[in-house]
Amino acid sequence: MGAGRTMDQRVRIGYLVGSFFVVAAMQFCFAGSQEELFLRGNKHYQDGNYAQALESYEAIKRPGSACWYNMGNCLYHTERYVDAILYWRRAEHGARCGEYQHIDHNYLQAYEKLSKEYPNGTSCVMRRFFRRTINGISLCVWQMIFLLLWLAACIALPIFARARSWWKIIILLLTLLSVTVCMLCHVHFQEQNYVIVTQADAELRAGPGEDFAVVDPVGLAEECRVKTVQDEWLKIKCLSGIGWIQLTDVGFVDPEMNKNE
Amino acid sequence: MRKLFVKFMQYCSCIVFALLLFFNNKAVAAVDIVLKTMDERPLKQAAAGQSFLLVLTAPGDDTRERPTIKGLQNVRVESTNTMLLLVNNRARRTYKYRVRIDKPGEYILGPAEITVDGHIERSKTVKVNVGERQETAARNESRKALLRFTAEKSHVVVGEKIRCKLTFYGVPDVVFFERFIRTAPCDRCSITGQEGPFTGAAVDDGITFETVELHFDIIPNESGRIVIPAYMAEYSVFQDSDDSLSAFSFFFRQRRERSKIYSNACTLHVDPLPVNESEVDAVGSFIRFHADIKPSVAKVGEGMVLTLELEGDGNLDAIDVPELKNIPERARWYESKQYVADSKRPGMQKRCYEYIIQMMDSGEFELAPQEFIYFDIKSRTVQTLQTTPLHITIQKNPHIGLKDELVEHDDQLPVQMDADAGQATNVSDDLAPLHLNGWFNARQRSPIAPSVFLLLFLMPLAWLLFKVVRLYRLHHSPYFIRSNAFRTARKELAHARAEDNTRALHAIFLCLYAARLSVHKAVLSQEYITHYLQKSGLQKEKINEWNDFFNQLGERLFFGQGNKSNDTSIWEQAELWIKELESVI
Repeated sequence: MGAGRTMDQRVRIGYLVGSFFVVAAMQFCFAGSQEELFLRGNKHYQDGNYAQALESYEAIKRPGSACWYNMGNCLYHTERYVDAILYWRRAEHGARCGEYQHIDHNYLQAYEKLSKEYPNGTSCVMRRFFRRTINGISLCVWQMIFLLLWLAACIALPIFARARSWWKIIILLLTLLSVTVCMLCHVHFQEQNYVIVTQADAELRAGPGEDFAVVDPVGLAEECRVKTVQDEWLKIKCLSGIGWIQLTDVGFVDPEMNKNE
Repeated sequence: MRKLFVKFMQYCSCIVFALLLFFNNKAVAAVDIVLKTMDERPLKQAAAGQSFLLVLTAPGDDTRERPTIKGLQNVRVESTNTMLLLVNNRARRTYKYRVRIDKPGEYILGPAEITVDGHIERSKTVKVNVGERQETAARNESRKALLRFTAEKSHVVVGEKIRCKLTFYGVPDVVFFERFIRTAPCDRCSITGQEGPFTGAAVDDGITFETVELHFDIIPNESGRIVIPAYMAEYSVFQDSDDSLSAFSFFFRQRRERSKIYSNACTLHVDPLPVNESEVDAVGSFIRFHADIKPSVAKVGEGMVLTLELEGDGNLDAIDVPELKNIPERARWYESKQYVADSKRPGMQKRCYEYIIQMMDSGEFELAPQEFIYFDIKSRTVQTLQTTPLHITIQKNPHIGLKDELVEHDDQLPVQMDADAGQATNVSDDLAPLHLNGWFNARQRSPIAPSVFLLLFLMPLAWLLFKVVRLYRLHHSPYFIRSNAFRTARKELAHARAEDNTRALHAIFLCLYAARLSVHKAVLSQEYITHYLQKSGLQKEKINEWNDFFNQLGERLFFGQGNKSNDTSIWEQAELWIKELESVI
């Protein structure tokens, strides 16, 4: 083995580097085509062709917050108000602070069209704020913060205990506890647990089947939390109470759940 | 008397020998024609649609010479095979014809004519009885395998779906199923919806069989009498061996024998569809034909999706995309896609057809009901299903036909782009503006996998636990104390040196001896240590040096620090003694 690289090794390294750049370039190209679809959708929307705009947005793989929001606007203009609400709800994931205001404004318009009242009570507002704040940071980040704090606690707590620094111990434990709570809340608020009722005549039943008695009617565009899934029925908790509803009467807030139906 | 008897026997044997020679030659010279089943057993009665073998044997070795068999043109010959056999220097040709007769009745085949040694030889004729089931003349052997072909109905109309089942029965642990083979195609029908194979068990005539089933649908395309040819199954039979050398023959001989078995054929009587003024779209049992359009309110030129849903049981695959009828004149439409959806009703299928409709005029319109005409197999009549009419509202589209105006009057554009703000302001809109600069692709950051999270969570705990356990063992485990004695001594020496505490040296060395000798500190004395060092083989001078050093440590402990100028040398001495003692105690 000589001091420098052999020709063969140089060629291999050249191939590796070249492949890396090719793959990176492909990513940019791919990203470019998605952006093109988004821009095309914007142009169609601008021209008033909402159906075509919707088609362009729907062609984007893994739509992001802006895409869902714009799709919601298209659906609103085509009088599909419930679907618009569902899509704006999806747009909340990954939205920025200013964008939340637009989403809330649009909710009001859509609920007005449906002759319904947008839930704006104090508890609803607080819950919504808390959920958006928690969901604003991804679960992965919460997990990493928790693990770092946990590691720091495991190292620092014996040292603080030996030095009898009780205040430092309390602060460290409280911080760890709050991060744990936030992490668990994030899991609780996960979007696959939420659905929006999309059919006007949807009913809550006592069991998973049409043979079971109707418990209560469910409001259109109401957001409910999913407790159990059984075949084509979901056990949900909503304002009217807890009951079973058909899968076809709701739309999942998490778009991946809709694909898996 | 005796001589007479011998002579008589001689004459008789000559006659017998001559007779044998005569008949042998006759037999060898004969052209023979026999009928056999596909597995070479003598055939008594053939089955309609089931193949059998017609075997013709003739002397001679010229296989280029083809025989002519009368009556063969009236039956279906599926394949032929020629073989040449040499026995005792005599050649014999065998011609095998695989024949199938689809119509029951009596058929005469033969005589067969073939040239043998320059002259034409004729065989006898054979009579073939064709019935519903094949029968052989062989003895009844114990059945190891069966193949049955069943159809749920035999009297149908053109296009009606018939559910069929092909079942292979095999004795467990003896017969091993390999595969089904369709021996001949059926041109007059289509085969769809194949499912399986499914395994199971069944009892037939008191014998338990393991079954392999194949399900499929047959749809006749023409009317008349259609014979579905017999299917074949290949299987292998496990051979039991009574051979005394079987233990050795296992390595050289196959213990499984491959075989084939044929099923029964099936005859369908297919009636034509009744004459109807309109063309029938399908045959089956249909319950729902529904139309839906989304959106119902659109602008001129905007596409609307019309979906026709057909639910029922029938030859859905054969149905062409229904053509829309009575659509308003000023509408453009085209087919978009079709797909199969799940039906909530068991045994039913749902097929959806999508169309795109664009209206070129504004106003209120009604899309006329669409019809679906089918032949209902339950009532045996032509039925019609109709959708409900659909009402649509078409609004004016300001952009269509106003392109020039839009170019000249930019301020009249319905949407103004504000690139800096990243939003599109919709002038005639009550919605918040469009998001132009946001995330159009989802940022995917999947959470840490639960197993990895758990591992990372437990690692610091494991490290803490390890430290606690180690600390415990350091103070309580004699082996651990002994093995770590020098390490602990050095650590304490460094600690004492950092604190400049020479008085601690005495205790350090006492603890070291106590740990290494596994005794309590109270037991230790100078004499004890000296005695141990002598036993360990340390030289006398070294022991005296040690005693001097230890006395110095004692003085420092009990009478104070001593001369400060000697401090540096005492630390060095302590380190040297620890190193020295490592090889002694």
